[in-house]
Amino acid sequence: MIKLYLKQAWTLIKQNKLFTSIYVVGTGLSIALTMTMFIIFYVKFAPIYPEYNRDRMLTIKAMKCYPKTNKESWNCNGGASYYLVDKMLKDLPHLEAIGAGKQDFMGNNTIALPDKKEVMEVNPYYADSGFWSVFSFRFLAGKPFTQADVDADLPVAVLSESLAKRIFASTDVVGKYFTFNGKEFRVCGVVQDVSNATPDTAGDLWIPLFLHSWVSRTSEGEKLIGNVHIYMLAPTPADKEALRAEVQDVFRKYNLQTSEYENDLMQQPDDFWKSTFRKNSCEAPDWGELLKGLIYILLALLFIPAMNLSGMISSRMDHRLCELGVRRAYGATNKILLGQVLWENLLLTCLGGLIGILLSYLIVLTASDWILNLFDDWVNDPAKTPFLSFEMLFNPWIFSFAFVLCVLLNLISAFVPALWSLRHTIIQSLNTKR
Amino acid sequence: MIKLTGINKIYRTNEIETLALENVNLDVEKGEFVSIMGPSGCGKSTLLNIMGLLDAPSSGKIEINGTSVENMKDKELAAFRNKTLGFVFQSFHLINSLNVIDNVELPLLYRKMPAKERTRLAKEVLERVGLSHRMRHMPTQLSGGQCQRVAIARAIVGNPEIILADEPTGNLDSKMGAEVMELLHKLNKEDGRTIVMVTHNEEQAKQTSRTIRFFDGRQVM
Amino acid sequence: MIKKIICQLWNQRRMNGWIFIELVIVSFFLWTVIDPIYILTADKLIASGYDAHNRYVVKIGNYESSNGNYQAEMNTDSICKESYNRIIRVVRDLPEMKDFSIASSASFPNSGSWNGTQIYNDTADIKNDKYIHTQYYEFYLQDGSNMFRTYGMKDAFTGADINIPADAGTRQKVFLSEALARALFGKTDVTGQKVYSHDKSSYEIAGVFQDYKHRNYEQPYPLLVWVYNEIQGKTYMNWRYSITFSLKEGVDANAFEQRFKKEVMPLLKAGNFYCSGLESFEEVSYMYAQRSGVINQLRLKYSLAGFALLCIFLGMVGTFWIRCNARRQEIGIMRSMGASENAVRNQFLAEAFLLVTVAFVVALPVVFHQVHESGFFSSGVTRTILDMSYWQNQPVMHFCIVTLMTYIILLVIALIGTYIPVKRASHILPADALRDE
Repeated sequence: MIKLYLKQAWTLIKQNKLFTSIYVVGTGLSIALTMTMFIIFYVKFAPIYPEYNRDRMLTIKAMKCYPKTNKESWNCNGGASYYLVDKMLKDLPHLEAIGAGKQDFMGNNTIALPDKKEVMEVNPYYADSGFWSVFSFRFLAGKPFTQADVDADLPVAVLSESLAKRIFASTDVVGKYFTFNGKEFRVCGVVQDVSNATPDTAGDLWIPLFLHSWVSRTSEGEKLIGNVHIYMLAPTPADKEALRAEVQDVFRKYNLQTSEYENDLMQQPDDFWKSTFRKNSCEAPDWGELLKGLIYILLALLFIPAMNLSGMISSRMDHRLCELGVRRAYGATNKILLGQVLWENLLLTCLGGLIGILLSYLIVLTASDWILNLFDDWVNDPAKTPFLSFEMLFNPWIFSFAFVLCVLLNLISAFVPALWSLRHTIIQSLNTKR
Repeated sequence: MIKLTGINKIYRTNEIETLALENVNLDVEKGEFVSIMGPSGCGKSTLLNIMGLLDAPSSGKIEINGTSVENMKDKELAAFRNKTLGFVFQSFHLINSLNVIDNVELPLLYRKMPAKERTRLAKEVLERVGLSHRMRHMPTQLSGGQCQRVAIARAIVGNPEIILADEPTGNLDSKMGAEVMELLHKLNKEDGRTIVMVTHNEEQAKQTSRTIRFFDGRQVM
Repeated sequence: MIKKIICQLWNQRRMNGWIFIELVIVSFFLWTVIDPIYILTADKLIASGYDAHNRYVVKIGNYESSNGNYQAEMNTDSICKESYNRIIRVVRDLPEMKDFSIASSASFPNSGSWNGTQIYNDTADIKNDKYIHTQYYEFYLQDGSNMFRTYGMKDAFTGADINIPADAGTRQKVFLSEALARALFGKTDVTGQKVYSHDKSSYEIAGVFQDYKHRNYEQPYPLLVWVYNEIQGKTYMNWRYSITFSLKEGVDANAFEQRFKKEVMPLLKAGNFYCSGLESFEEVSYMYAQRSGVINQLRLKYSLAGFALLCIFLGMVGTFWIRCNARRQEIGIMRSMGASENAVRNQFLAEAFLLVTVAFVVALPVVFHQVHESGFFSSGVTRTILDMSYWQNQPVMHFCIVTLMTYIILLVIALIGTYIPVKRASHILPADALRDE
């Protein structure tokens, strides 16, 4: 039955080229832009190398503190003190792993081989040893540095594959030496490249945390503001809530015993996806407002073209009233006919969907240096352009979403016109001129 | 076979009420070939539509095959039409985006019949109407007479006991018209199907077993 | 004529219904998308009060203790000051240099930092807490540095270079932007008068300069310029003081940038300070626009507007194509009665015009309600003083401009979409059209 519907739909496609092309372009346009939006947020939220554990991760990326006597005289920063990791959160019952990282926004980091004078700029990432258990880096050679290395401020580094190739022309370089910012470092591991599309882990090389001059092990008195981003892993996604409660409890107790300052988590720890919106270090983002803005755009992307499609389907149904009449004379019920129209239309919509998804890849790839930031109201470093990996674009989720969109668009646009055309009596339908 | 009692049909527009049928009583026996004649607008097509359960009368009783259809719901009516009735229209009403065999299979489609069985039956009836060599053609590639033969094949593929034909030769030249009439007579005589046909053609009416004449919504004789 | 067309539209309301609903939705949507584009563009078009052309910021870095080039013995305040001054003098002595300026790091256009303070026009206001909030710049006169000339800021009255009195640094004189002068005194002719800070110290006004935009996509904010004689030595002073300069007329910027990288940068090294590059004012401005999300905002809004208009275009092409086909006979009759191709075309265009206009009028109250409830687009900058001479600051004017822009753009696209199928249809011969039926 469905095969027959699709066969007829295919004939109709061939018979009405203009209708088909306007329809398919309209659908394609809608799906292309919606898919672009989906890909942007997929890359932000979904498990992407090396952040495969995003679904069971909690983060602390900002901290605010104020004197207990004056709430308004606050002080905040886009990071917390490492003291938190070291002394306060390490032993929570629902914590599988905890790590800290610090990116360098100031730039001017250079790297060279010991014997060569020629230098090149790199983006370093400063991390502790827990960082390597929270995130799932693929090591091509060697292994991560240990907490002992971090504590001893040893000049060791994990290189990205492309950096290793750039300076040594090989990835098998564990134990080799290079200079970073004028100091000699030893390579302890090489990992698969990380794209700037995952800014929480991206870098050219990873070095022990306290080699960054702004990061210290101790807290600034009672204040817990600092410079590291903290990543915590719960054993399962379901344990996240328990872990969150435990972290907040630790803070509550800490604030009870401080004499001068109150530390404010600003609703943290965040789920990973929520943390991607935390651009302002001094207050929690208004997620409701953000979501409303996105839904507004999403609805526009779906409904505006759907009106077009409805109009076209409706005029086509007028042309096919007679056919509907014949089918009903021969025993088709309204339900069957409605199904037929929707199925036929789904073929067209899916054709548009196919074009749409290709178009969205084209958009994302040609605008890859800025498209992932499109919805951000603050971009830390626009010069850091990401590369898009296979898993970001070609995965079951993207294709399923595209298909669901097609079905949705099809339902929105075809349902009402089809229903309308079925309102006519058989006689009316039979007697219409085409 | 078909029993109409006291059928009235009134069309209402905003201001005017038109009486299309007035107190029509009619009995069609099994195996009869009945023709309905009358001038344009006398209500004969309306009567045919009511017999075919495509339209409901304003009042009156319809009994087909001993079954009263008054209280049937849309779904039951559809199933009933599908099994018992076959339609042939003046302007063929073939579906242009389906090829000949798919057009013929149409009534079987709504019976949940396996595809193989459908194709077998459709091929059989196409052979009977002499069009088995045109199975994969589109309706637009056929002549008018061929189209009407396809429509007849479609009407009989579901093996209905009654065939309702609304001026089946109205859009055809006399040669093709004769071919179609021949086919209908064959169906009546060989298969014993009951046929009710609306026509303008006195010649054709004479060949049928009974002619009912209509004038202004009333049965004249 | 109009009556006839309205009649037509009404008779075909089912066919027109969908495109009509779409036009209503798009009218609303397009309005909300054009609003931010209008505000950001209008703000950007306001004269910036400086000249970005051929002007540069010298990026200075310092070696941290973790760096291999770090020299611990150089890390004292006095040696740092000495080193920084040495770098400043190399810049000053560049042969291509026209003017240079030493200012705080928040004191050049589109700098990521922003300093603000409260200022009073007399001491009584301090008690009453009647202050004016203003942005402030700081610059240092040493070595002949002149911020006004370097940035190309002009005197509010003469339009010429701003005259800096010789004792400006010593007696801590200040310069005000027109906006600040107006806010404080209600007039701009205030040279010689005094302003007060919260601690009641007074500062003599040495001059008033033309309104100035710290950020490209924002409106001028009141600006106060403090003048000091010299910088202070600090180990992290590269974060505290910026060095900027302008090029002489006729110097080729590209060639200069090349030479700077190759020959000058190695010279700009002293103590723990070094030069990490050069950034033109244009680059700084674009970088800030990118970072602050303005460029993203514009990209998003432009693509959404393009999307909505493309949908309308397709919708009009589709609708009128179908309609022309359905009315071929009518076209044939009109043509055979002697209507010209133009007359036929104009009738369809008039239909489209009416359709768009009615839909737009229907959408307007909804737009108005939305604006009434949640206000216009706001770029996130809160302002204490609004300059009402800008149209985007006058709610009624603002609403009218965006409405008009939305309407015109929508109409133009819709008419183009209508024209294509109608042109084709009106072209047919009357006989063909009539035969078709």
